[in-house]
Amino acid sequence: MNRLTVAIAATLALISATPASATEVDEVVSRANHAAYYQGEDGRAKVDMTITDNQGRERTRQFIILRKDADDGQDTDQKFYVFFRRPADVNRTAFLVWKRSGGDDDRWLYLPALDLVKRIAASDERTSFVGSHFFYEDVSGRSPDEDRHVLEEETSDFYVLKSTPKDPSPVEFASYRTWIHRGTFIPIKTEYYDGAGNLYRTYEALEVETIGGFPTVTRARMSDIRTGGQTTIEYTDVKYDVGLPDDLFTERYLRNAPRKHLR
Amino acid sequence: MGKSNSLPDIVKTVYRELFMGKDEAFRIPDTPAAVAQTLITFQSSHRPQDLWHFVTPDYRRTNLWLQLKSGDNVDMKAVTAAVDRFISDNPPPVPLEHEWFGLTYINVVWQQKMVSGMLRAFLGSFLVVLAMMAFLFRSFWWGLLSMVPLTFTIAAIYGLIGIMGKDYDMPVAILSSLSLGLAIDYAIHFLARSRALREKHETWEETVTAVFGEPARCIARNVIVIGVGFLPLLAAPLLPYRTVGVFISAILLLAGIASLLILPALLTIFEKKLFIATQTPEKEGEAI
Repeated sequence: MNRLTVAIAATLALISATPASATEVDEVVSRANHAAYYQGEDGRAKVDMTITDNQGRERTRQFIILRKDADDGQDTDQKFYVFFRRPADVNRTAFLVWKRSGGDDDRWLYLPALDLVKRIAASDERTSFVGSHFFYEDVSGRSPDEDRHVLEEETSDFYVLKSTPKDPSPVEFASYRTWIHRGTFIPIKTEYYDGAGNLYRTYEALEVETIGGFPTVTRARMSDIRTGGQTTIEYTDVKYDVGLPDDLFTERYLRNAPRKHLR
Repeated sequence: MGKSNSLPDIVKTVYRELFMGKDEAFRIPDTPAAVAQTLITFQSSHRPQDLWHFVTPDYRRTNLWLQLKSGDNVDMKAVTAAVDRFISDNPPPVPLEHEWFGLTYINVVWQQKMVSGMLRAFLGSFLVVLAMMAFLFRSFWWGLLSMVPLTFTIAAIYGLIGIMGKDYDMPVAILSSLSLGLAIDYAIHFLARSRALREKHETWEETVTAVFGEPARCIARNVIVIGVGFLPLLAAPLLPYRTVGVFISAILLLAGIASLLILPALLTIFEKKLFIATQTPEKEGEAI
């Protein structure tokens, strides 16, 4: 375990809400899923994304992301609204995602310069999110039901889970390992392994802060070991329980950005 | 020319797909923002990095892929010329520099460098061999004389190639340098033996008979053996091999003829000038 992860663990230990005892894998998984994607009833964040390729060339994107959970008291359906600000050429480009825990998501894209709202086929979740090393699935969350989870290891700071897909055909990984912080259940690190057992992709949470009472990842990185590139994401101006209206997450608001919530 | 591919093709294709694949939509959208938005759509895919095969991330340099139907250097040069002409006739709205790349283009450059390099090498070698021959024979005129067969051979070969209409290309460049080596051989042999034998005879006329005894016969046999030895190349399936076979045999034959006919003729004509230092001992005694 490298120093950074230990440092994160130490930080989290200070801010963790409840001490955790050894729990069943499913409990760990479901709490981690909640901590990663379902904190609060809704949330917003400003995101600065830096995409670096293997030659060190950088591109940046800046967007606002709004999220609202379904009102069923469980961690199931969600809606996401992503509004681009930078680069200037893609200003006002917007995505809308209705995440359905049961089946395929619904996804829409709005291109302002073409004044075009396009419904995108969402069956493939593991395509690049606007050219970055994060997939759509990394942004909206992979349903815990899609994999089998095994608790591989328990350290003083982490649960280490190994997950294998129930249906391997739509995914490019054969398995992945997640380090979940025991106190906060935030996934700190994920390693993806291919069919040959080689590590080809890594997710790391680089900074975690408490915001609105919730432990929040404010800086994260996805590295593609195979191509040598990486994307770093910074979350600022994070807010929970903003009171986002449900109808915001509709096609109408793709064309007409809800300025109030995107400030 | 076959197909071409470049960033506008990507933009046009994505734009068309955004508009349900309608053929009229196969065009570049009207604003830079629209172009950027088609590209961000393209990148929301499995291989976003494929875009960087066509443009750099700062969008300041782009590629135009041209697929040629043949890999011939002639065709490559024609394409280069046509594109350069188009660009000079239709200057771009923003000043652009362009460079060529690709294996086919590299072949053209390589051949050009190779040929000019070999030409320089050949001329350089000529001067070096001349200097060496002058040193060997302790006389500038003998040195110059020894260069005659190879000059004749190469001039004849180039003349033949010119008449046949072939370009000065790589095989020819190589053959020239080879000729230099082959032809000088016979000249050295003939001239050295001529000088040596001249010391044993009173006049050049007498020497000639001796020279055409053993040394000339040697040279003749050498020409035949090696010349015939290269002839199997004529049965080769590839044209360059047949070309080489024909030309090397021709080089040997011409060098042999030059050495055995031109050299003695020149020696006869310039006998007095060339044989000053090799007077027989009696004659030297007389001079004193």
